[in-house]
Amino acid sequence: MSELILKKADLTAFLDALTGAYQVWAPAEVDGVVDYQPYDPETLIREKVRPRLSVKKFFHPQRENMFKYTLDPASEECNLMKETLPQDKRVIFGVSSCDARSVVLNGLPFCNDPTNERKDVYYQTRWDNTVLIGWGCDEPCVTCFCHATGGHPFGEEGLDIILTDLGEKFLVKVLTDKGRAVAGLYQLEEAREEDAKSAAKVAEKARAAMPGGLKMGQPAGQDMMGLYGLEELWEEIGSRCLNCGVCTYLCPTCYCFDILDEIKGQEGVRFRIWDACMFPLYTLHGTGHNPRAAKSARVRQRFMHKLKYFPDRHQKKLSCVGCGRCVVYCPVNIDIREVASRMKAS
Amino acid sequence: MKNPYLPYPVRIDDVSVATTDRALRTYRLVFLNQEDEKAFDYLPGQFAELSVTGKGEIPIGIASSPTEPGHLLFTVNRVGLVSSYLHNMKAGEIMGVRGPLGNTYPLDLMKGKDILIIGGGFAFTTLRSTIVYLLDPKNRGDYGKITVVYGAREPGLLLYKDELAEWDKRDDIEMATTIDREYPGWTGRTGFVPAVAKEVCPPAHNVIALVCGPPVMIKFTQPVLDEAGYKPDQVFNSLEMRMKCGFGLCGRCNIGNKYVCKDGPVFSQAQLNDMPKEY
Repeated sequence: MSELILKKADLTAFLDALTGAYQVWAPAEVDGVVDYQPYDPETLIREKVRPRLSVKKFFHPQRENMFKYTLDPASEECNLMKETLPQDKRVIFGVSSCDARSVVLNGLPFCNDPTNERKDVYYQTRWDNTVLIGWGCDEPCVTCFCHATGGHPFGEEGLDIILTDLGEKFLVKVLTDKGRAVAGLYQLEEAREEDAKSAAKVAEKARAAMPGGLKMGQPAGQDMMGLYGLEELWEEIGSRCLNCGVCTYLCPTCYCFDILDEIKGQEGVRFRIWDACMFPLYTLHGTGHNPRAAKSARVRQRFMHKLKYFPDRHQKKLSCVGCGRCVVYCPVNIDIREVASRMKAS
Repeated sequence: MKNPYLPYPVRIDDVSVATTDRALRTYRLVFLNQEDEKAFDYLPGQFAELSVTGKGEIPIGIASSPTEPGHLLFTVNRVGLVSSYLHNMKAGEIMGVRGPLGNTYPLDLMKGKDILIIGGGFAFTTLRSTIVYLLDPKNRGDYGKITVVYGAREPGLLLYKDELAEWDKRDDIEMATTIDREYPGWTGRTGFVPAVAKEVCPPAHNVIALVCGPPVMIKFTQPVLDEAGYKPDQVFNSLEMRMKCGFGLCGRCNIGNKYVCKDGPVFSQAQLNDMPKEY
């Protein structure tokens, strides 16, 4: 795929050129929070930032209608479900490599599990209709550990285009056909060989700045029952955890959901909404029995799912991209890097 | 692309009160579209999501057998929002069925073997499906002796009483229907399921046991089977969990790295021995 040059001065002109064919989203600050917002040249953040929420919401929205129906007995279609598939074509600008990788990882259970004949049409449709323009992280944060989970600050997995900041300009590397279609909407000049070399140096430097010695992959290779039985560890972490669920909501690779119905007058929708293993209701049986009644059991579920159960089911890959959002925002400082290092079956 | 969340529309053909405490009702459902019935290709042990517009979905074991074409049977306990609403629905109303979901009882492995079926209380639905399937003339020759232990607290809480009586008359199935303790008018067997199982279970060689019941029944039945020499790979349990999607995605029904909805609901005792006791 091709390598092109975009002058920083032309950034808004480039994004403007995409708005005819796509809804364009880019990081912007609203009420003190940086998040992906509908693109506006006035509020566009022109430096590398990583929004508080990941791109998860573009593929698996916090609330998503699945079906609509009418309860009107006079209608021939009374009580019949009508599929409501998303139609929008979207470009998301400024995506970090960790976030892009999460789209591929969540895609494993949603659409790419060879043991499952059922595919999630909503996720797949959104994936097909969304183009991710990445912006490599030249200065990873101290809470970043993508490299320990199988990623890289300039990783290309899940991205359609990746930009490398070369000062006055970006190197634009087109990675997929979807990316080519987007890049073709604006006149970009070909990159020179030295631009590609400088970009590679930026990426190497970023990667080299990340710490070694993390053991994120350690649990995946261990015995499930042994890890499950680390009672002291789970009790200790469970006693600190508030079960607030912020980690699951901010996590790009937490994808659990609930399905509910809602009616207004005689019109109804069936929708799904994010749910979390941190909440007791999540597993509560109708009888009142709860297989994960204890806080420590729910904490254990979250870490075991990310670091052991998911790898067991999906090609040994962790359900974690090392973005560090859970580390930054956990109100009681639970750190998944520390938990992983302590998940060692005796 | 086929939408795995889309229920097939069905009409309630018949509703009957299943137990004298009126907490359970049995629904006979008929597909609105014939091609949907064809697509709903199921075997005993599987379950489906029953869908009611405006209320939601509930995962319920399929009580009918594929050898009974033309309709599906579900017996539903009144517990929450959807099941309570369902209990007020009447014949002729339209609802939805999504499935079939989950795995089946090990019907191939069971071939050529004697079958021990142990059920308790309301958990007799997929076992009914299995018994009807095994007794079908096309299948009966594939399986050996069939022994059924089925217990409930009192006679009025036994499901499918007419069929239990019919099976009792047959000589190709041994029925041990039991009530926990003496009850006015009950002339049949009394005693708890584990005790009855101990009495009637066939010798362990060449048997497959299917167990479905409340946790307390399972807890006390397992030692009986162990003592009788049943190996963990001869005993199959059907589990229940809170579920939403029904195919291993929404997250809540896992036990360790297995999903009850997708990898189960039927697990061998050998499998369960290697899984956390989180159910």
